[in-house]
Amino acid sequence: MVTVYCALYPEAQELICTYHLKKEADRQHFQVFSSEEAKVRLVVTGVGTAAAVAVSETSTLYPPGKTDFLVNFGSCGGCGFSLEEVYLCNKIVDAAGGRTFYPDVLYRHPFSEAEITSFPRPQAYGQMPASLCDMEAATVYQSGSYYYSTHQMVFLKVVVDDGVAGKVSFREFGKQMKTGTARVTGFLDRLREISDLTGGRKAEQLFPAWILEEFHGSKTMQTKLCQMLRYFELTGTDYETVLNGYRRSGRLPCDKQEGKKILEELKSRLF
Amino acid sequence: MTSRKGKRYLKNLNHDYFNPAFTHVYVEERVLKHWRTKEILKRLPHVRVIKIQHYKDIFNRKGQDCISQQKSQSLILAMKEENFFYEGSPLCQSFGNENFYYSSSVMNCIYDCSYCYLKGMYPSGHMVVFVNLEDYFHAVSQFLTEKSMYLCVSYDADLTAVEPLVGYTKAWTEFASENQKLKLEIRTKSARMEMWESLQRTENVIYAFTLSPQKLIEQCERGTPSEEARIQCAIRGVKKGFFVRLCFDPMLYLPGWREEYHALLRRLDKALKEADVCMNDFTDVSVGTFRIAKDYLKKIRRMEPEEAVVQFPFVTVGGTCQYPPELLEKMEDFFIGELEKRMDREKIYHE
Repeated sequence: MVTVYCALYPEAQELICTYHLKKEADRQHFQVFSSEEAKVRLVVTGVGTAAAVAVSETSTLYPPGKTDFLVNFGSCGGCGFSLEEVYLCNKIVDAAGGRTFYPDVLYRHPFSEAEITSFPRPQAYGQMPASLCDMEAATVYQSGSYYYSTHQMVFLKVVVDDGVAGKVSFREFGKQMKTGTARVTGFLDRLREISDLTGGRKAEQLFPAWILEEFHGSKTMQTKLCQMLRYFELTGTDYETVLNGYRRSGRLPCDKQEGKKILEELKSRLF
Repeated sequence: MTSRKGKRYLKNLNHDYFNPAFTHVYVEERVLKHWRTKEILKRLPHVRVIKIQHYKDIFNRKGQDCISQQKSQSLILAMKEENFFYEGSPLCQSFGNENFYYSSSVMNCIYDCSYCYLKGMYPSGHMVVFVNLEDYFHAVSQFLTEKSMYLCVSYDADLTAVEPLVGYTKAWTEFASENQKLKLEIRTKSARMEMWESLQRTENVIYAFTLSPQKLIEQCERGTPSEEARIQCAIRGVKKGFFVRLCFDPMLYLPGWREEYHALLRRLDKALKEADVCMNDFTDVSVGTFRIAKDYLKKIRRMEPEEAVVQFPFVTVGGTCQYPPELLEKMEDFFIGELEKRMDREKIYHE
C-alpha cells in the first residue's frame, strides 16, 4: 500500500481522480480517500504540524508493513526553482527544531533532487532560504519514522511559488498541482509495483503454531523448537513425516519431559 | 503448511528498480575540501553530493533497512576523530601474532553475504569511508614506537573490492613497507587480478583470500566473485611473490557440506597444478567454522528470515553462537585432515 499525505485538498484532488479513490466515511479527524484495488490511500492532513497527527493516526489504524510506502506530496516554494517542477527531497531541515533528516533515496526516479526546509509558518518574500521550503515535510518525516524505514518515505514537492511571480491564485495553484500530479503518477505506480513484488518479505511462521503446543514446553523450549522447524523448513527437510511417526507411536502430544527428549532427537537430525 | 510463496525477500524484485551503488554521496562538511574527498568524487562523476554535519546523521539513523540499502548503497565520506584501531576480537584468529589489532578505515562492504556480522553490528547498509587515512597512519606509527603490531585492516569492509574507488589497499601497503614492526593483513573476497600490478611486494603485508565452495557463494555471498576467480587471483599473487593467505573461514554448514568442501579442494588442487604452485607456497591457511556474537545473530535472523545459513539452530557458548560441538569438530577435523594431506601442519591455523 502507498499512503500519500497531502496538506490541502487541492493538492490531493488530481490523485483522487487518477486512482479513483473513495472517501472513507468513518474517519472523523482527517479526510481519507482510498482504493483497495489501486492499493493507494490518501490523507488530507491540514497545514503544518497537524500532518504529524494525521500520519500517526493513519499509521496506527493501518500499521504499515515492511513493503509499504509513505509519500508526502504537495506544494512548496523555492527561490530560483522552476515553477511546476517536481522535486524529490533528499534532505529535510526542520527550521523550528534545527534538526535535519535524510530519507534514503534507493529507488530510481525521474525527478530532480533538492533539499527542503520546513517552516512553522509561511515565509514572506525575501525570507525564503536557498532550498525549497514548505510546512510539512519535517513533521511528516519525524512522525513517519516511527512507522516506516528510512527508505520507505518519499517526499515529492511541486514548486508553485518561485518567490518572483507574486501571489498564486487558487486557480493557478490547482493548475500547477495538476501538472505536478501528472508527473508523479508514473513514479507512484512504480512504488505500488515494488510494494506488490516485495510483499513476501515478512518473516512468516512457516509451520502451524499448534505443533509447538503439542510439546507443552517452556517458552525457551518453544523458541528452540521454532528455530529448528524453521531451519528444517528452509532446507526442505521433511520433519512432518518424523512428527507423524511420533504421533502414531503415541509420543506426541506429550508432556514437557517427553517434549525435551523429542527435541533432542530432532536435533540429531540436523546434521 | 504455510505457503513459501515470495519467500526470497527482494530476490524477485528487479534490480532496475534500484539506483546503482553510490549514486548518492553524503559528505561531511569538514571534509568537503579534503584532497581524498576530491579524488573519490572525481572517480564518481555523476553522483549527487549531499552535505552533512556528521556521518552518524546518516549512518546511525533509526529505522534503517540494511538489506534494502545494500541494493543501492550510498557512500558517506567522513573524518575519523579517535579510536583508529581496536584490539582484535577473540572470535578472530591472530595467527600466533602478538599485539593483535584491527582497524576500520572503511565501514561496511560492497558485498552482501547473508551471514556477515556487519549486518548485525552496524545500523546501516551504507558505506562510510574515513578520508583522513593519514591520521590512522599517525596513530599506528605512535604505537609502533613502543611495540610491534599485527593489524587487520579489512575486517569491517573489503578494502580490495573498493580499491578502484578509495585506493586504501595500496596506501596501507605502502605505509607497511615503511614500518617493519607492523604486520598487516588485508582480507578479501575480491578477485581483482590487476591489483597485483599496482601493489608493492612487502614481506609484512599478507593478502588473505576467503574461499568458499561455489554452491555457498551462489547461496549466501551475493555479489562476490566466483570460487574460481578468487582461487586464480590468490595464485597470481603467489606467483608474483606476494604473501598470500587462504582463509577457509567461515566454513558454513549446508546439507552435503563435506562434498562441497571436498570439491572446492579438488578444484584448488587442479588450479594449483596448472599454475605450478603448491599449497606450501601460500604463507599459511586458516580454518574456522562460522561463529558470531549472539546479539548480532539475533539481528541478522530478523533481517534474513529465509536464509537457512543463519537460521541454523546454533548453540550459544559464552555469548557466541556456533555449531554444536560435534558438528564443529566434524567439519574442522575433516577439513584440516584434508589440508594436512596437501601442506605442512604448521602452516594451518585453527583456534
